[in-house]
Order: sequence, then C-alpha cells, then structure tokens
Amino acid sequence: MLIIEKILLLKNSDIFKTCNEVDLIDIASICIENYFDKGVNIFKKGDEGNCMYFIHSGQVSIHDGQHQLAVLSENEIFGELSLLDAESRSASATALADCILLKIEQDLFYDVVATNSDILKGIMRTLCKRLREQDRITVEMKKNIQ
Amino acid sequence: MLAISIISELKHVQFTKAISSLINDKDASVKRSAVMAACKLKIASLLPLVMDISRHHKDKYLVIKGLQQYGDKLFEDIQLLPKDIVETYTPDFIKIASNIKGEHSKRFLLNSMGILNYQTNKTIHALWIQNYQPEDAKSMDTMQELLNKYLKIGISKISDHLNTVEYVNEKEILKSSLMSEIKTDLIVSLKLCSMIYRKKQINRILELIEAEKQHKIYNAMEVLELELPKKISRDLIILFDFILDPTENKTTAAISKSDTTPLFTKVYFSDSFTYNPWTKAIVMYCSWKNNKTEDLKSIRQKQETTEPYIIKETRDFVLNEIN
Repeated sequence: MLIIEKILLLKNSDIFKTCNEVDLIDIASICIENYFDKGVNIFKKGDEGNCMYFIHSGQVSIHDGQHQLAVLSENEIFGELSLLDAESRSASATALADCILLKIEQDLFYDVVATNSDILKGIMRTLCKRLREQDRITVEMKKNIQ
Repeated sequence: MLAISIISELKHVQFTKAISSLINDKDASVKRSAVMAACKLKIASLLPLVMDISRHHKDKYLVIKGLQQYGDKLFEDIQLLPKDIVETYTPDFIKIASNIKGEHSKRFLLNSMGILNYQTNKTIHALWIQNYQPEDAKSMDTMQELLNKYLKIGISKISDHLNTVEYVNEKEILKSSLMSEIKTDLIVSLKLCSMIYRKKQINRILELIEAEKQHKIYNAMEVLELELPKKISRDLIILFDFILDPTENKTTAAISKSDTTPLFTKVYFSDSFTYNPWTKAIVMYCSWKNNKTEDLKSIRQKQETTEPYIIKETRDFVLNEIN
C-alpha cells in the first residue's frame, strides 16, 4: 500500500479524522501491512495489548469465546485503546474473511507522538467527543431510571 | 538493558564504545535504550551513528525523540557533522528545535530561514514557540518579507482551490489538501505578525483557530483591522473569509481569474517550494486518477535527493502505472 493510501485510510477512522494529513504522514510511515487468512485468530482475550489495527479489506469478528460482540469491516479500527495504555485485550479478534490489516505498534506510536504533539491533539479531541457522548448516555439512562 | 539504563544515568562519558556497539543491536529494545543513552549523555562522536539509524523509516522517530533529550547543545554539535548529513536531516532538526529552547537552536532556525521552502512554516512555528522577536533591522526585514510571501502564497492557493474542476476524480481530496494549505499559510502569517508587531491579541486569534471556535473568529477579524497595517489585515481577512466560507464570491472570483497557471505547473515547477509534501503527492496521485499522463511524464526527471519519501514513492508508483 502507498503512504497516500494509508493516510486516506487513517483519515477515515474515528481516532485520526481530526488530524492534519501532513501530520498523518508520520503515522502512515509506521503502519505495517499484515495479512490474515480467513479463520485465523488475530489476538486473544487476555493477550497483552500493544498495537491497534485498521481494516483495509476483509472482515473481523470481535468476540468473547463464542459470543460475538461485533463484526467489523473495511475502514474500521479495533484495539485502538491499546495504543494509549498497556491493558490486556478485553475480547478476541478473528478474521472472518481473508484480511489486509494495517498495524500500528505502541512503541513506534509513542515515538511519533513524542515528536509531533499535533497528532495527540487530534486524538484527544476524538477521545473527548467519545467521553462526552458516553456521559450523555449515562445521564439519559439515569433520568430513565428515576 | 539494565546496564544501558544505568550508563545513561551516569554523568561521565566512559561507555561510548559500549553504547556505540549497541546502537545497531538487533533487539529493538536494546537499540532504543542505546540511542536514548547516547543522546541523554550528549555524546557528539556518536551523532553520525545515531543519525544513520534515521534512514530506516521505522527508527526515524526514535532518533528524533532521542535527540530531543540531547537539548540545545545538539545544535552546536551538529556543526561538526558533514554538511550533507545536516542537509539531509534538516527537516528533523527543525522539528527538534521547536521542542527545545536555547540560543543554539534559535540560531539554527534563523539560519535555515534563508531559503523559502515547505519546511519554512515549521521553522517559523519553532521560532514562534521560542517567543522569538526580531531585534535588528535585518531580521525584521527578513520576517516582513516572509510575511508578504506567505500572504501572497495563501491567496494564490485560493485560486488553486477554485480551479480544480479539471480533476473530476478525487477532487474532494485535492480540495481538502489545498484548504489545509491555505489554513497553514494563514496560521504562519499570523505567527509572523505576532513576532513582528508584538501583539498579544494575535496569539489569542491563533488559539481560537486551534480550538475551531468559528463564531469568535469573526470578532477576532475586527481586531486584526485595528491592530495591523491595512494591507496586511486585508490579505489576512481574505484568507480568513475563504476558510470560513470557501465559495466563490466577488473577491475570490477576481483572484481566481488573475491566476491562470495550471495547478500541476504551480505545484511542480513555478511555485514548487510553497506546497507541502502531502499536496505534492496528492496532486500527482489525482493526475494519475484523471489520466493526466503528459503532466506526469514532465516530472520523470525532476527528482531531488532530499525530497520526502511520500513524494518519491508516489512518483515511482504513478510513473510505473503509466508506462
């Protein structure tokens, strides 16, 4: 994949959508292409989380044992919180079809953001948005209960 | 690993040989610690070895991160490096200088402002971060000249944005990249104004742009008219207006009419130094998507040794595709 194509993919994701394309050149250059055949386990629940994935093509099931939590496809991301902390995986991920994934490792990601704080600003904006949305849902739920 | 982290805490540089042998270690974490130790201990003799690791994309950011720990002295020590190494890594040094405060880094930035190119905006940003203020007439003239250039460049990109009709496929990507360019030129111009005219209100406007508080920016535009020379504020407001509402109006139509140079020619020939690597790569990519084969053939020989990887990679790809 060309760096240009990687940037366009990153730009489509929730986590990097507010980042400037010029800044995303740095992130794209540390993205590694990974290929997974259908049925292959990408990571297991409880594994150490030290990377995130973008789906370039194919489908991925996020599951806890036999219980399917989500089916993700092109342009979607998973494991993104593992870029920011070192918690273990809360669910497993398995390829439902032959997949091309872009992987970003935590160490390399930290090196990039240590040199380019604008990327962090973009990510923080996205995380704040998610947090506000979560707060809104919590407030609504509390209202409903009362 | 433990030994390396202990060495990096020692003040006496007695382990240069040991660190040097571990800088290219196959184990990524050992290599990481060795680079950090060399930089933290400010071992000038290891700089060529550390810079050499930068050639690999994956390790480039590790080196920049390490060199940030080297501090201001780095900009004194790089003068001992061969000129071609310094030239190759100038974009990285500029990036590092924006995270370091000190006289050596400031001097390095001022020296690298001599030739206007796509990195100049980073140099200006780094100087602005360092609260630089031109003290003599010569440096004031340089800053003023840069401000005039950036305003002119930004306004010229408005016509690029309005003249993308010939790019039917992927037009939106191209427009978005040009809009980013205009926004950057506006921000750089404001940073230059802040350093030249020493007005705190301009930094407040920069904060509003950063926070994307569009409704407050309209009020800020009035401040510009009050605080800056008429010609400067007029050009800044043209850029502001276009960012807030990128549609054709009387002013922008006149700009677009007066600038008929095709986008590809501007990006690769006449105004090449004013566009960032992303725009350059995307213009190449969109030209390929729109079958502009003749344009692409014209850049076959136009290859610079220090050009960013994204441009080199895109050029190789599109030229291979049209063959």
